[in-house]
Amino acid sequence: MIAWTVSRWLLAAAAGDEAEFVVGDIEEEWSEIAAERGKWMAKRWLLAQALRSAAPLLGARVRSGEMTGVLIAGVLGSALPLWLCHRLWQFVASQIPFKDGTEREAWQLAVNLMVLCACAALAGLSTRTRSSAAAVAVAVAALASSTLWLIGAQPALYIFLALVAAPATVLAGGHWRRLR
Amino acid sequence: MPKGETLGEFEHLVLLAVARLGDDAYGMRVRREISERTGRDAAIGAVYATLERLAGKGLVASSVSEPTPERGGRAKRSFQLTGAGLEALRRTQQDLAAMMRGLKFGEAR
Repeated sequence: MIAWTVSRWLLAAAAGDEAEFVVGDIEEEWSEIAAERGKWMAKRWLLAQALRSAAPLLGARVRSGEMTGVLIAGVLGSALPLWLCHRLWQFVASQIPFKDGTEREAWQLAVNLMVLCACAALAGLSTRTRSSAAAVAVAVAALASSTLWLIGAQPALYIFLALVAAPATVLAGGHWRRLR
Repeated sequence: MPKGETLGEFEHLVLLAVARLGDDAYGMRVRREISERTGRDAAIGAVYATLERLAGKGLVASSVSEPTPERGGRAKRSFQLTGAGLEALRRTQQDLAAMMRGLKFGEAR
């Protein structure tokens, strides 16, 4: 269980192609240490390696420019569609006398969710590896929550659905692309 | 690497480990070589980030081998020292030797 969790953690932290090599190396050394010093020591070593490796691996991803792509995918996959929908409904409301404000009808929120999921799916389709899909999903969730906070009062259920559906759709889009 | 740019401390260690290991230089072996020779327990992530940086500077080249069962069916990326890497090692050694020359550590306050 620990080995599996550490593998997933490192696969998410390391850059796309490199993740497989890092996890392969960790698994090879883990089995050597388990044979030499026992499984308990090997687990301790594995956890320490996972915790200490995340920062340098993420740093390398930032330096490689990969994070810029992740950020762009996050903006296009969540922040921009949510903001544009908000502006659209604001404009529609402004055309109706005495109906300006941030309150939205249920069907308008449903349209928002559909647009958000479609854009998030496209962001997911732009990823090549599991680790980059995970990074885009995190960026999409973070940017969606920031945008919803900026927009202001929204029903709790709508916020919950947006924050769950957007990253889930990114992961689904990425998975679908890898399958093809 | 431009003239005058020397290696960082950990880059130096990693490059020396790659030079020592020859054809067997990949992340886990580099990490172990540094650990066994210096007693420094480096994180595998730090080793890979450094190898990636050295590859970006053209000091090491890499090749990918076939996946093996002991690695959970994952491939291995091996690193080789390039001519520029060897030159960087020589220059860093010269710089260190020049700085060390005439120093007496017993007199330190």
